[in-house]
Parts: sequence; C-alpha cells; structure tokens
Amino acid sequence: MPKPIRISTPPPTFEKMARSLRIPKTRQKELFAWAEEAWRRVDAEDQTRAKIKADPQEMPKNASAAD
Amino acid sequence: MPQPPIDLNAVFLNIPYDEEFRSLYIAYIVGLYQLDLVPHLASEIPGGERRLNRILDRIKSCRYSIHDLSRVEMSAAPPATPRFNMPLELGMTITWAKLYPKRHTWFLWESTPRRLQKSMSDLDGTDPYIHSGTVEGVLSELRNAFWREDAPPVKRMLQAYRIVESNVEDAFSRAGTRNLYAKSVFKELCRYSLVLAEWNRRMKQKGPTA
Repeated sequence: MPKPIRISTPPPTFEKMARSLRIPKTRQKELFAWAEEAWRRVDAEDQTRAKIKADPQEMPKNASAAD
Repeated sequence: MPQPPIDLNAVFLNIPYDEEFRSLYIAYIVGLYQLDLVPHLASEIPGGERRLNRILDRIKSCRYSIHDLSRVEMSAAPPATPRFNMPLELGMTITWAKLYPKRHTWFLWESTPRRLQKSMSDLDGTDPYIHSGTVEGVLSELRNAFWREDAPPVKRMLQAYRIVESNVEDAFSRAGTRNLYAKSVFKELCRYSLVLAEWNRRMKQKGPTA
C-alpha cells in the first residue's frame, strides 16, 4: 500500500483560483447558479434511485423498466 | 541556481491524451478539485520553447505529480509503437524529485497491480495506486493518496464527476473545439470542477439549513 501524503497546506482561496482560471464575476455568478441546480438534481436522482432499490414497487409511473 | 517558486497545491498530471482515457481524465480533474488541489497538464503550457523544457518547467512548479501508466501500451495504428511519453516524463520527474526531495513528490498510478512489475521492474519497491480503470477507483485512490481530514466522501466526489461529465458538450461548445485535452476545454472542466467544490464548501460552512 503506497504511503499517503497528508495535505496540511491551506487550500488557496476561491478568489485566487477563480483569478487563475480567468473566471469573471458574471461567469462566477452563472456557475454558482448552475452548481446549485446540478447538485440539487443529482441529489434528487440518487434519492429516487435509492428508493427504487429499497422498494422496486415504488418505481415512478413514467420510468420504464429499461431505465 | 535559484529555483522557480512551487505551487503547493498544484498537481501535474502525466496521463495519456486519448478518447479511451476520457472518463478517468475527467475523474482526475474533478477529484483533485474536490480535495482542494489544482491539476495541471502539459497541454496548458504555451508554445515557443522546446516542448520538453516546457514540460519540465511545469513539473518543477508543481508540488506533486501523478503518473498514470495504465495505458502505456502498443498503439493500435500501424506501425505498432509503444507509447513512451509518459515513462519519459516520469523519468524526468524522478530525477527532479531525487535532486530536490522537499520540492516534489510523485505518485504512480496503474490499472492492475502486476503491470508495473512487468513494464518497469526498475521501479520495484514503488507501490502504485491501482484505479482498476474505473472512475470510482481514481476518486477513491486520490482520496487515499492526498489525505485530508475534511475530504468529501467518495460518493459526493462521484456525484461531482457525473455533473461535470454531463457538461462536456457545453465545455466543447464554449471552448470552440472538441479536443478534450485542449487547453481551453481543460480550463472549462477546471472551472466547473472548482465551482462545484466551492459550492460544497460554502454549504458545509453554512451547516444544515433545516
């Protein structure tokens, strides 16, 4: 088993990383709105999947067996 | 001779630039941002100077490097030729880290445990991280290699991967190219990955809202 490296250096600030990636303020706003929606969507998908796994009878009516 | 400053959170990715590697490439980018690290590629480096010099300069500026040798194999297109770029860059890195061990740490990654012993027996005694050719393998091994107390769970990292993967087409259209490894596409993938990681961090700081 390789030896892990313990990362203790504080992470660079978001502002610093956004500057190095050249993300202007307006794009940052867009990206945060996108991220919020994307996280919400994957959380919802995973919850649905978990429910179906726990109780296959609960499969939503619009979901086909091939899904 | 004075050495260039090192970026303590920077990780140089020595990986194959091919379509078959697509999902693992995205997993490396997403996973490193999830761990507050910043990936770098040779393709980011502007032209001008000799390519090898530019790659070495990039390696020297990064505190860490990952050398994924899982696709060191014969090319499919004739004439069948082994791919030597990754071992070459690994060799340069090993020399650099031998000279300046406090400035650089390198990691080897493979798809199966025994391949390395066969392909590079000189590296006997070096344990590679084994990703088994899967996204989950890359993410969980990244978490093992770069240990942070507050690292997100692999499940969350996998979700971030799914989000970025589903936005690759958008990255292509923003970058104006369908070359996944082009600097402009790489930067787009970095932007998505950074903001997803930052959004998580902010939510964690806020705590549960209910």
